[in-house]
Amino acid sequence: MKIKLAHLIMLLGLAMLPFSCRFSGYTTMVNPGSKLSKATVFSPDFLKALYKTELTLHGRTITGIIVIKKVENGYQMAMVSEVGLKYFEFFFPEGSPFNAQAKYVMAVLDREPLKEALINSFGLLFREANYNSQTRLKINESETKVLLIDREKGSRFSYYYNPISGEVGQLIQNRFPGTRTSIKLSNYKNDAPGSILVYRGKISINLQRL
Amino acid sequence: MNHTKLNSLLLACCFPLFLGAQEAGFQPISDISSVTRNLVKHASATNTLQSNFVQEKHLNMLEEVLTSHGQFFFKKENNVRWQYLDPIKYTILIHLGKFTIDNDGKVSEFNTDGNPMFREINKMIITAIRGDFVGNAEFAPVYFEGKTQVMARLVPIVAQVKSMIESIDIYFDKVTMQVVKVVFIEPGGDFTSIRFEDIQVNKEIPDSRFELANGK
Repeated sequence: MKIKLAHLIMLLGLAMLPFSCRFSGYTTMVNPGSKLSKATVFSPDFLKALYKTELTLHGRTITGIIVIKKVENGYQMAMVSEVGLKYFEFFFPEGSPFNAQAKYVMAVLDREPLKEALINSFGLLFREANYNSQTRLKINESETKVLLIDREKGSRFSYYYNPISGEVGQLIQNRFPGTRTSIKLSNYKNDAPGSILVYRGKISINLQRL
Repeated sequence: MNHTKLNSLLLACCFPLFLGAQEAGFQPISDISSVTRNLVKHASATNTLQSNFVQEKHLNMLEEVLTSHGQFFFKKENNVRWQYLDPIKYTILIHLGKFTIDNDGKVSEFNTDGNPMFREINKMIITAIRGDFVGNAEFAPVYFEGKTQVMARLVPIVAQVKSMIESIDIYFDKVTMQVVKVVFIEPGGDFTSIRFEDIQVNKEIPDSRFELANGK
């Protein structure tokens, strides 16, 4: 019995290892203060952007241009091929981007699992981080990066961002059970990131601003 | 279905085409045989074609037009080089039954016979540029004429093409019967217009133009 208990403790320790390592180097922010900027992907004055895009779905790649446009109550997004054919168009409502509407999806791509994966991947990009009593804020040793963790509808969202500019460097959505989505953002040009790399299961999307 | 209902349906189907053509100053052509005869004559006399092009993508969601520039080469029977130079570098080559894409250095090859989607795109490009659609059972053409141009509106019959393209409008110069503009209209109203400039016909084009290694 003693051996079994030791094994159990060891297994629990191993299971906890990824969680303890994930936030290593970050300490809880006791009093963040008003100087801490909010996590931002698209700045409030963002209007629109074009991205050269490579979308890999289960090993097959389609390429083209993605247009993202801020509208009154959300974001419009469309992907067109280089020769001009539209692959898909979605509308992501502000405040509930995961309830996006598929305005058009080309017949060969019009499959529910695929649409769901695209909506969840891009929805995370347009989601605003929550700042409430449940939100946990941590900061790294050099105080150059903040980690914000908030939870919503069975998902845990992690935002790694610059405490001064608010620019988000990485976004992660973990669902239990469910597919993990990770987005890396860099090369911000005033109002939006210049590079966006999305990974979600067998889907990867590479967007480079034009 | 009785004749009245059939006529109403035909009228309903043709009305948007007629209206669209009228808005651009184009009228339906009464003597279709003369136009098709000219198109067939021109297509069979065209051995090579090269030009610059300006592509404009009109999306309903965007006020601005997405504009691309590039060069186009065609050589009988089925050799095409479709090269975008700005704002992105992207080349499509159709040569010896192969469809090659060079996306800014990343090269992918597809066999047009084994890939139905690329086969259809291949056909659409060649059909539109050569004006080689007379008697083609995959499109239902309707002809219109303006002051200086003739327009053929091709409505796809194949379901796979129909799901991507509502119609292809091909504009020809009335005198030379050269293709000067092609407009791909998508379901939902977005459209892509490709305007050809500095067109040169039957000028020698080496086969290497249709291969990446030498013609890059």
